[in-house]
Amino acid sequence: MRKAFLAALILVMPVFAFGAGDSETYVEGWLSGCGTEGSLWTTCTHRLDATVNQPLVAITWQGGLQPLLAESWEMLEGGKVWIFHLRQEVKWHDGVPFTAKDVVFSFNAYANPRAGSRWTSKVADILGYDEFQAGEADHLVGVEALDDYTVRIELKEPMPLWIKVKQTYVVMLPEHILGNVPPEQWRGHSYWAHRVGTGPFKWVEYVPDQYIKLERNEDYFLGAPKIKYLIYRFYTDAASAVAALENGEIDTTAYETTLIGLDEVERLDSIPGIDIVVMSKGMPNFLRLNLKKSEWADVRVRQAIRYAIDVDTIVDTVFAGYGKPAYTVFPQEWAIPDGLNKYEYNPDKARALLEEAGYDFNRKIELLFHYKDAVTRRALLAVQQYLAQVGINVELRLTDAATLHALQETGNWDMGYFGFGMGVDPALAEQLLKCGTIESGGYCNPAVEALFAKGVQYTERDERVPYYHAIARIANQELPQIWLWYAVRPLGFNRRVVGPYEHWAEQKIIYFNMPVYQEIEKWYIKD
Amino acid sequence: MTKKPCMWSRQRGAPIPKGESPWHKAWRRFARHRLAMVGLSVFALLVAMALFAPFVSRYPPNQIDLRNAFSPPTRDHWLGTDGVGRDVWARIVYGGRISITVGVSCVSISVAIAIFLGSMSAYYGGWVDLLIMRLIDIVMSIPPLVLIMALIAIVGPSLRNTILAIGFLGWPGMARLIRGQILSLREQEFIMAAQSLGVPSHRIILRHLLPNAVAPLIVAATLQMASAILMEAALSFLGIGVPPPTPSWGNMLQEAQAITVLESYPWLWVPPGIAIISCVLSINFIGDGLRDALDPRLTL
Amino acid sequence: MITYIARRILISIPVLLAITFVLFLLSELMPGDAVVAMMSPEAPVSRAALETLRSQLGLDQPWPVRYARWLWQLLHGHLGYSFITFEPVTRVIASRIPATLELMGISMLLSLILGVILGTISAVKQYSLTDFVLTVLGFAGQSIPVFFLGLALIYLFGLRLRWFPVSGSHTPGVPPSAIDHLSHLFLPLLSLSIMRIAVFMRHTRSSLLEVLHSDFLSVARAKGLSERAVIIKHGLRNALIPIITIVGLNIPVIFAGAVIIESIFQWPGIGLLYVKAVQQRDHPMIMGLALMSAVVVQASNLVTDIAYAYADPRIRYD
Repeated sequence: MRKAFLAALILVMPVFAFGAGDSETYVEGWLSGCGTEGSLWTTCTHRLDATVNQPLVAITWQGGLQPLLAESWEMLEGGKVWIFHLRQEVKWHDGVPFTAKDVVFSFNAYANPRAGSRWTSKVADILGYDEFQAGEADHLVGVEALDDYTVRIELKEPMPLWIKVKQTYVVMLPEHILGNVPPEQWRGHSYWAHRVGTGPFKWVEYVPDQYIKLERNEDYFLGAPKIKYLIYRFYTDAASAVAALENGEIDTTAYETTLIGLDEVERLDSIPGIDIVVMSKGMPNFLRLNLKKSEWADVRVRQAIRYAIDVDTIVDTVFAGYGKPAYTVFPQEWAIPDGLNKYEYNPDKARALLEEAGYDFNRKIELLFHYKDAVTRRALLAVQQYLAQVGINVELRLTDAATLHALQETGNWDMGYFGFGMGVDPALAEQLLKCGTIESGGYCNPAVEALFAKGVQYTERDERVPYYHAIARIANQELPQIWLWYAVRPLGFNRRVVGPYEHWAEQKIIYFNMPVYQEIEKWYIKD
Repeated sequence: MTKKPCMWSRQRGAPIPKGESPWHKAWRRFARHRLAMVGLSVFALLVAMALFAPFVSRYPPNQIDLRNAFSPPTRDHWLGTDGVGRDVWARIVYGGRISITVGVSCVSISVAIAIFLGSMSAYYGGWVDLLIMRLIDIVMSIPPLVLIMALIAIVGPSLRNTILAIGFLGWPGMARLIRGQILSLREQEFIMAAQSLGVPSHRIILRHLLPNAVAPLIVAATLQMASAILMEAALSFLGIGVPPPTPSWGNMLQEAQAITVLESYPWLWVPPGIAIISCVLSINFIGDGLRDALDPRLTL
Repeated sequence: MITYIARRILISIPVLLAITFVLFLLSELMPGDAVVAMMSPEAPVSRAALETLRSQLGLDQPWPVRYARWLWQLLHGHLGYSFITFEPVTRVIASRIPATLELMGISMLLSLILGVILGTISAVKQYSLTDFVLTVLGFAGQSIPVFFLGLALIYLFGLRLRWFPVSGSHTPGVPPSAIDHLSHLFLPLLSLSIMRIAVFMRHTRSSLLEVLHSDFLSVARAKGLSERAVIIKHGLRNALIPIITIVGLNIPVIFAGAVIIESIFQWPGIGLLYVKAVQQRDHPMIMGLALMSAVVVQASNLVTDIAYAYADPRIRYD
């Protein structure tokens, strides 16, 4: 019976049109579980914020700014007031015109305490934010519609970089759909399973845990996309996603997580039609220690740990030469000064420092981490061995996000391996070194906070450099987190689609948690 | 067409010893089962390798050598090295310790619980049966993987927790089996005879019911041991198995879970694959042999 | 018998409640909650936002209150809303069950039929080469960790031979077709069935062997019945009792879905749903799925026990 079945299948094989091979459809691989998380709360559905929804002004793949729903803008009072001139004649995908009232609604949505947005910090600089959050006001006084196509936004303080570092995260939502819904109900609203936006692609259907299908928006204001259908396919297992790339079922792999291991890059790249770009993640990977515990609060112990690990060898072997060792927090070249301590591999010095600090060698510590990919595991195995060689015994423990957060919150942890996204601008690193945040692990240095505050007050890079250099030096000497290397992530592309590979290769850094303008309306599929 | 219309022909040619203990007879029957003997030898070999691991391997299993990663088999590293340069042969041999320990411990726990609860339940019936069956229902209600995931999220992953989790979840099936067997045996004449003779209950259970119920249980136990070893591998796939760097055949296979490895580094998945298959196969053959050997109806 | 069934059904109600309570406790004990589960450790989140979200989900209430609420909802026939997607739990489960039933059901059926056939052949030809080959192959199929088998099949049939697609239940975006669906079903089905055939084969063989050597079969042969009739009519029927147990044991598995297979092949079934619910601390979903699981187990146990009684007239229940 099985044989007959198999034979029948073989006979009809040519009839199969499975896979992405379609000349009208572009398929991207995506992560299972991301599909319908709303923009206000998501950490992984920002692609939809570039294809279906849009911000007023988006960051481009080159790191510049692209006017989208705002045709132009003015910066007044040194960056305290911003006037946005909205693009006229833009309609939502359901035909309703896009106007200033949507903009006001959207900024308020991010700030609304009842909505509980994860990204509320992106609008926290707007005047009236604190009152809104505290419940003293029922809207953001700093956001005002001057007329149907003009919006005025006033910040609490001048911040010339606000448009790039904060505004680019805020996505426009339709007031006519969500406006009458109580904010508590936004999160579970059916809108997120069938979005209505202004972007180049319109929502067609969503099949849970399988795919989301989008269709070109013929009336898109930058020109109708050349690609007719865009499909996002969900994957749970990394090896399956890679197999899907290889056999043509997807054209691009996801960037939100590691699907392609660094040791697979060579083989995949050599497959005709498939190319790999190894992107910088725009973030350092580091060991975060619980500085509230006395043994980790001693800077000598932290330095010892860094001396004990042979980062150069790990980068050369485990990371196949991709990525770079990190001596400080910022990945951006311009923010790194010369003369930093490179912490050359020196186990003897490490041991000496530990003994000097009176470290208790009998301690058993858990090194927590949440990255599931093989390359990270290998790197951590190496770290474990290097630490063992100087007498620090760690056990590796893979945890999920929930456990990780819970452990950190209760203070019941010693060491963890993390990354922190700051690809867009070094200013984003502030959260990592700020007093009182979970991400700082207990580090608190008011000097650093002051430096960060100064750094965002200028637009010219030359004026900002001294502040970031100063922070970098402190981060290098004090090792509030133990900087190991700058992370990279390979992305795979099927070259039958012209556009994705070219733009990602030029972009070089992954901008996480935000929509990125990559000229998707110009991409096309080769015949 | 069956070759043996009558059961005595099994022992055709062999003298029928008189006055031999049932265990000797059982061993003799076992020895006649070729596959079982092969299984026994292979399993013994695996156990020996595991026991004498330090003596048969040249390198410590967890020693990392980054510059020598993914090396194919050489004279130095008999089965090559893995992604961080660890000696694969050493990891197979030490991994055997973990996998075999997992198999044996989990099954011991499960079988002990299953025999106890299953026989109580079947023999006494009534409320006891009801309660134990409900307990079985509760444990069986959730897919085991998910229950173990939840348990390990709470207590943290470790070898001991893995063994306990798998062991405590593996008994319901066998308990039901025992219960089913005893339920049908309970009504047989020889049991009624023993009862009317006034033989105490626990004696009846231990001496009369259990040995007769044991054949399917042995089959089930061997399957269970195999499944425990495989469950450990599944847990490694989900990231909650035996934590690194300790090797187990399951987590070695999981580390090889990538197309590139499948294609280009066969020494990373073939050895643990063969190890698991041969271990599980030999356990199953032994079980087969035991079933044949201990079947009391074949006694002469 | 009727009283027996009625009593069993009556008793199952407190059992189901106990199961939900145990699951609830387990969910509570797991560190973290739904709000932080979806947090990426690489992105900052404000504490205020966390607290708002927690109170939206009712997570700020003490646990007895939450359990009581859930029970109250249940009594009204409602299983609550997912903490993650906010969809009604019943709707989500209902939408995923067909895919699971399809994959698991067909695989179970296939394995059962083939397993019994092969097991019978193996038992009848005991100690022959056929028996040997079947036994070894059967065991070998059963000894490979299923995640590896899945990957190997993907590699062989999906990448090397390009005969079958490697993921999903159908090609996205195109109108559904039976052939497309079947081609997606093939590889996961194969992976599952290879594992299961051996189980049925083994048990059929071993219990049939027991029966083949028993007295009543000799009597049947002495009566002059053909060997075939002896084996099938008399032998198999009695040998099937342990098989009934195995099938009964496996019915809940059909509903539970194969977590690993669904992960690897991105098959949209219950297994994936379950794993995600645990990872994301989605309490209503965990409870809903547990309840469903429990109901299925209860029902299948009852059915199995009744089948026992019919198959073996010597069994009686008090």
